[in-house]
Amino acid sequence: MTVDPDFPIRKVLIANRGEIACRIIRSLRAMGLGSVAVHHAAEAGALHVRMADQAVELFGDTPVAAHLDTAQIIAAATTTGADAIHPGYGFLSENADFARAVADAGLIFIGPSADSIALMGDKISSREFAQAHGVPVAPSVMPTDDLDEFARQAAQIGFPLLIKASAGGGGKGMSIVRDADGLIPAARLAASEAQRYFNDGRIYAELYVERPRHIEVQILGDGENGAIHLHERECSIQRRFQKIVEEAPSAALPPELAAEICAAAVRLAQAASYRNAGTVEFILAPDGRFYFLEMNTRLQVEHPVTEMISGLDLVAAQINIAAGRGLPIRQDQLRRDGHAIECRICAEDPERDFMPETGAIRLLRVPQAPWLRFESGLTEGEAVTADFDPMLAKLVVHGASREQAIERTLDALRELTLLGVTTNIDYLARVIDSPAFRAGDLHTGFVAQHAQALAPAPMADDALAPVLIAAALGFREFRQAVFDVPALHAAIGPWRN
Amino acid sequence: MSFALLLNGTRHEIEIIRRRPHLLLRIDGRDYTVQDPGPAGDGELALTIDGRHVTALRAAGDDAQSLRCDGRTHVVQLADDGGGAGADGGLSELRAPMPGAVIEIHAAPGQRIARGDPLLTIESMKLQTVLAAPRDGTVAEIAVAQDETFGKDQILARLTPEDESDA
Repeated sequence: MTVDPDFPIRKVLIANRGEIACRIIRSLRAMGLGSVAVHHAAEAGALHVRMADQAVELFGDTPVAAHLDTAQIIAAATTTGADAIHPGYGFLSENADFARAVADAGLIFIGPSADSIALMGDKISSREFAQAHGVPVAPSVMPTDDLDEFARQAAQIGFPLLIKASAGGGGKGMSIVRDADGLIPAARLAASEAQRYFNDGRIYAELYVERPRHIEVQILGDGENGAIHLHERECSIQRRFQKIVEEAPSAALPPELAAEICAAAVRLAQAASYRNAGTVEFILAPDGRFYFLEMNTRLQVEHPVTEMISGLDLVAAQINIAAGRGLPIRQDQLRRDGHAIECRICAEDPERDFMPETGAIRLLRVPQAPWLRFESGLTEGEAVTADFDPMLAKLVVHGASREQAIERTLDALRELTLLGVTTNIDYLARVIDSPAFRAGDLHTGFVAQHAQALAPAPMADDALAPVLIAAALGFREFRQAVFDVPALHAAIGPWRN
Repeated sequence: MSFALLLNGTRHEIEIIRRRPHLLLRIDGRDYTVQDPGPAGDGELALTIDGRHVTALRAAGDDAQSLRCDGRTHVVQLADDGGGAGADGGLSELRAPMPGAVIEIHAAPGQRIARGDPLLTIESMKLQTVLAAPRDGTVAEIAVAQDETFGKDQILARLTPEDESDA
């Protein structure tokens, strides 16, 4: 591809690793731009390091610390002559100080302004901003340690209410109150827990949405007033408050409601003069009311499902926006083709409460078809350690309809083989194949609600034997007993027993 | 000759009944004829069991075989009945229940400890857990350092074998 000679970006440093670094390098290559990878010594042989045109080693006590070292990363960009930095997701992607430092170093940050990151990164300021621009937020009581004032405000909102510690996290000081009688005792308990755990007795409360769905909208903003949406995604299948299955568009959402949610997201992006790709997340109640949850000011893990139905390359769009070339399309040019599903392949054990697992990639077989993408930074032989997030890869599948996407996902999951570390591949297949998922009957408590139905089925005897025989023939001790026997003994049979 | 296998944690007996002309195996009391047992090592397998073709993918781990067969993943271990793990059933080793990092070390080699005494505090998924001594005894080794990360099942500490510490 020939590159526009005036294009201000020639070479991009990717301040990330794993599948997303590999995915960004692919778009850079397609655009004719150079790539620089960064890595800690522990991942020197990783795929993103081998794929990039250049690689720079980062030093740090832990691999994660190295990937969070702003000064080293900016120095690496300067030394290698990169013009821009793409932060991917996680790590420094939503760090306003990093975005500012990149700009101060005379480099282009492929992301929003530091001010946008700061505005949306704070729960209170982003909520107030959304509310001020006509984006619905869940009715809530602002943080206070005055229990009488708290009870008065809370009673006005109605029930059920979710009480949380202001300084909270990890479920401490959190409770659901279903009626007025339970309010004061629950508030008192929450405040005392909050004081004990966080040394901050302030609590707040918001309307608790039963069976909520997680609906989010992909937006692109040009940094001025131009902002468009690229449809919504549904990410209601979660465990440990993290998504494991995402799809675009959402399952069984009335078109008018989807349009209304997308319009709210665009309004927010326009009001913020947002620049870059971003995601506005909402909680959707069963009655169709929806509330602003937060805005992620970066590329999202699940962005490929949006790419598959829109035909757009979101990384290329981010780079073009950062280069001042504006949005890739007008809103009225947006198309929507079929349905896409993403499964997050994680090193974890669904039978043990999704605990992360470690091991090594001993065997990897990836399905191939024109309608699927396997996004990973994996290579056979690589160790899977506790140094990084347990997500190993993403399987993204497109179909003409949701039904076809489901069948293709099941075929692909069945074919996908990753041995040497325990993964959630089989669990994901059971989720996708479940009647509730097929029916689009989704909410964020899906995994817990269907825990029994999603447990592995016991194996039939005639399925057990092939597995045991194939396994036995892998053990040296067993093979010796079968093959390394003098012919005479073999002919006599198991006389020693 | 008989072997015991653990499939997803459940024990199965697999006995070699006959080797020629075809391998005849007895599993949990039922006989199976195996043709084309295939080469050793990792990769694709194509077996014929009782005349039926079976394909699987296999990879060897440290002490287990991982298999992908019929769209399901399995881990099979060879049960060690020879007592290699120690007569005390592994109570001389403290293994990591999950991957994580060492937050604090509570005991030093040579120290006498009672069952239930804290040996290490570990952190995994932002949760801290205290790992306690599995029995009374003497600490032989703390196999990890402060802040060191470890994988699941890695040995974190060892106690002096019972007979020695009792002597």
